[in-house]
Amino acid sequence: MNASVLPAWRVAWLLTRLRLRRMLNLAGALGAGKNKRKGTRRKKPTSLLLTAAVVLAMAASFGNLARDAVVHLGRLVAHRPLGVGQAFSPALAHVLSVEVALIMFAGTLMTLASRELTRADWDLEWLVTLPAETGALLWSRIAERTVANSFGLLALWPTCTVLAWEAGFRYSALAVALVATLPLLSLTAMAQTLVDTGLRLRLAPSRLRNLQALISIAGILVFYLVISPGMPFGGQFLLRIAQHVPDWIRWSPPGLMLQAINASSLADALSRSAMLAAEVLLLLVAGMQVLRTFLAHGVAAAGARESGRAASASSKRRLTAVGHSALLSPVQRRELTLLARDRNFMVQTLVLPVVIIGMQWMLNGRVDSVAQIWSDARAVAVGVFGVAAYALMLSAFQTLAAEGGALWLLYTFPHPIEAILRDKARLWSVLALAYPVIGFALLLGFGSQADVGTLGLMAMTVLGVPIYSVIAVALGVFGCDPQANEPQQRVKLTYSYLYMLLAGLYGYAFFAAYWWQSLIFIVLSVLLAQALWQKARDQLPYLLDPVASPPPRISTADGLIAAMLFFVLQMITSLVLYWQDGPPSGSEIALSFSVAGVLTYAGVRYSQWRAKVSNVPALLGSRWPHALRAGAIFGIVAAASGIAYLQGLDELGLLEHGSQHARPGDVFSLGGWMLPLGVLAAPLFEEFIFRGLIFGGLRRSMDLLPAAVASAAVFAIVHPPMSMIPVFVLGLCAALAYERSRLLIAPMVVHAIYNAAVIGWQSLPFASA
Amino acid sequence: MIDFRSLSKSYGAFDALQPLTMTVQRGEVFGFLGPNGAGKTTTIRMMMGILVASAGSVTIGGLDCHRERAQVQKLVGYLPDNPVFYDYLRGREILQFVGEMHGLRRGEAARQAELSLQEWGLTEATDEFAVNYSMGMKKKLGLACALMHRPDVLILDEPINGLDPRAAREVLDRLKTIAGEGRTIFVSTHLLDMAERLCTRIGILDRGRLVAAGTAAELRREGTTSESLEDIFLRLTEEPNEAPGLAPPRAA
Repeated sequence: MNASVLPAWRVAWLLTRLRLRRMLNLAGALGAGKNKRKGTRRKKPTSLLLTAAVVLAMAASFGNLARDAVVHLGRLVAHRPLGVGQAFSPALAHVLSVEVALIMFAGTLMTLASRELTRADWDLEWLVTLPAETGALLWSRIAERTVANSFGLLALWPTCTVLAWEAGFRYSALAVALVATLPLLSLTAMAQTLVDTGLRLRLAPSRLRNLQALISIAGILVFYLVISPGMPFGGQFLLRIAQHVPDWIRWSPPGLMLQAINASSLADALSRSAMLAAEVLLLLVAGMQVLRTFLAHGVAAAGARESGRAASASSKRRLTAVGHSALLSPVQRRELTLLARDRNFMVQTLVLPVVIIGMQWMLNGRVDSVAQIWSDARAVAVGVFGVAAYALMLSAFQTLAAEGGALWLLYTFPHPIEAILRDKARLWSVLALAYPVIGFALLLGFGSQADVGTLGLMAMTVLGVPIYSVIAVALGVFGCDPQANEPQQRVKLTYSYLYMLLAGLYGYAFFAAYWWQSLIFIVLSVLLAQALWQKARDQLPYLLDPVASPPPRISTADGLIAAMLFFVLQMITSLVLYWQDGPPSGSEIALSFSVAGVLTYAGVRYSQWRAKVSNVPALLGSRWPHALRAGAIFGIVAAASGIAYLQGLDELGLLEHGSQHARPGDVFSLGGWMLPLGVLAAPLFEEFIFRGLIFGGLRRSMDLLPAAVASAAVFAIVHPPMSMIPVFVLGLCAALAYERSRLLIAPMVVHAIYNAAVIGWQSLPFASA
Repeated sequence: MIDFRSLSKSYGAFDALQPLTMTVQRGEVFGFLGPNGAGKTTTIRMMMGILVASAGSVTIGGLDCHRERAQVQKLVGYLPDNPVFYDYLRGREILQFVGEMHGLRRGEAARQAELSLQEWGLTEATDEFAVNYSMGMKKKLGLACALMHRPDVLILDEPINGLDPRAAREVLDRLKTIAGEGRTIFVSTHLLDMAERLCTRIGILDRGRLVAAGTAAELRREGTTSESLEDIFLRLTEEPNEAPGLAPPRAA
């Protein structure tokens, strides 16, 4: 038996390789087939391309930030652009040294703020059982944390590359920067190891979590400080800080790295590099001595079980305060208890969004002073909605991931999982509403008038928060893997980005020029929330099954996609047909409408056939006479209301005014194509989408009236504003006719009668049109 | 009480459970035996509505475990093989939460939680975060959760796996008491000693296939009376290339 210990280089290599492999696994690059039995097809395969795209996008974004920061600092200090190959002035070198030192500090804090610090299992406890000297293990730890510090690499390497480029290295800048980055990263690795080892040995896990909360806030603040020079109004912050930093910073490792890169001769570069290497080595050896002292009495972390007992008395009092409300369901009370106890969760959820959005605002120069914020109702509305939406991404979106391994417990309760998630969505929306409430209270407190515009903005914000709470929870069902072993794997970044994108779209509602445009955003957001919730509800019984999926059925989401496809295809066809000419002719409009309709119909039907969707909407059936009768009755009602509306507008003299925008049944420009388009093509294609798919999808999870109203509302908002009201009534009548007959021919007849009546009325000689 | 009708589960080409048809009667203690990877946990997770059957169905008290999952949970108490609990919640709080989710009023749930903790010998750990419990304590807490609403059926996945002998004995004794109350217990295990002492009937699952079901006496080779449950188990779950009657240790 060979009882000799492993050499230090071998230990370092094995541990570094292990760490890198773990990181790759986390990124999903090696994820195919993981944890699955032979022959298992992954239900949600992780795309290598997507991972690569995200990494590349992050690298590009960090590179851009680094470039902007360095160039902007150069302008601020030297009052002129940096000259490639020119030596940095002492003042600029000083500021840049502070910038690099801050990047190192941010890197240390961000790494400490990762979940590794509070993981129940401390890998050092396991590593010391390996046949290697403690010294070798510790040096290996520094080595692997140097190479595998993803945030450090992403933040420091691009900055060093920009510095090397500006110093004249050109295309070798990337390699030179890597060589310059590694010694600095070894120092951040040592700092991280010293802090996490010291903390783990001295603090119980619950206290560690609380400390981690503070570290994460500090990390974000320092990170913003680091990138601030790249933002319109951020450079001055760093300059002010640099003024207070002593000159010796230029002889610290970041300063020496800068001197070596920017040296005037090779001998100068070598001497500065040697000084840098000696300083780094000295600091590492000193750090290692401190580490050895820490570990002199073993590597057992502060006891976890004791911590639970020690904290019990005070926490019990706090829990009682959380738990006495009869308004809350057991799930909501439990969620609040966890939030109150887990300071890290609380800070990440409730404080971090304020810090991030606030820093973005300040550094982007949106406001010059705090007073300015409270004088602009629109800015406050957008800001508080942004903070609330961000908070929902960190709470409601991750609500399934937060269940983690304890998710099994929810399956043992006599309640649908959907009901439990609904409880959670309600709770998080109430908590997130605190931001708008505080924001608007301050707005009014600072003297803004509660005029109609402000009240409209308030209403839009207060409506947006619960809508996006529902969207966050629903998207979270697809964007979270609560069973993943690694906490980082429990949330899929792509879905987080999708959520933020959707929240950003709602942000446009605040800037809409007309009230009806804001209304469109709100109605679409409500429908989107409903569609996503329906998809999530279908998915929930299959959540923990790696292979099974819900049976394909018509859903609201299918209808929304079809509607979007229909309008996009109309635009594309129109562009293709008359990209050279002036205004489109009637035949071109009719053609593009019909081509888009046929393609959408064919595409949807094909995908339904491929997916074996069971409840596809039927055009005709054995009850067709009944359907025709229902269509005729509801068609007459819709037509009568349309004509009454037109008559009313006419008598009020609004029809002329409205004609400048668009009017109900405004198809006169179509000439002879007006009738076939209005009576045949529009009923055929639009009824398939809005009644067959959207109303059919909504009806699956709603009562008749709300489903009819919602489908009619979305049908109305895709029409010109003047015709929204009669089209809404038409949508209601068509939905009721479809409900009675379950055949698409019925709403098509309703639609055809309505269009024929409206076109006919407008053609009459007495109509002022 | 529990009715399996051609229940099966496949992961792609891999059949985790081949069509399983059997019935567990009310008041029975049914031992679901099988080597690691035989499909026991897959079956139990389908009974709990956590996994969805590829074909067939399983009903408890006439209710479909997938379509009527929420209603089924009123009848069932469940212990998974590795119960994981929430960070930052104490044993008492978890039990109270479970009680309330099953419809108990707050005060009633709190009282019931205290009683359960006493019954399971967890009084000292009442105010400790459950995530810090030892495996034995977690299993006991899981059992206490499963029994909070006094269910008619208990579904237990490896209830004494990983417990020390004293804790295992305690759990076994409690389960015997519960069985004596006339409740139905469906317990999966690969601990034959436990099955022999607790179960009134046994089903043996091997590579996703139910190879035998009956009382220990019924499963013995015809004409033999001395064959132990271990002998029966090894005989019924032997590898295809093993010589009959000879059961070498499985390769690790």
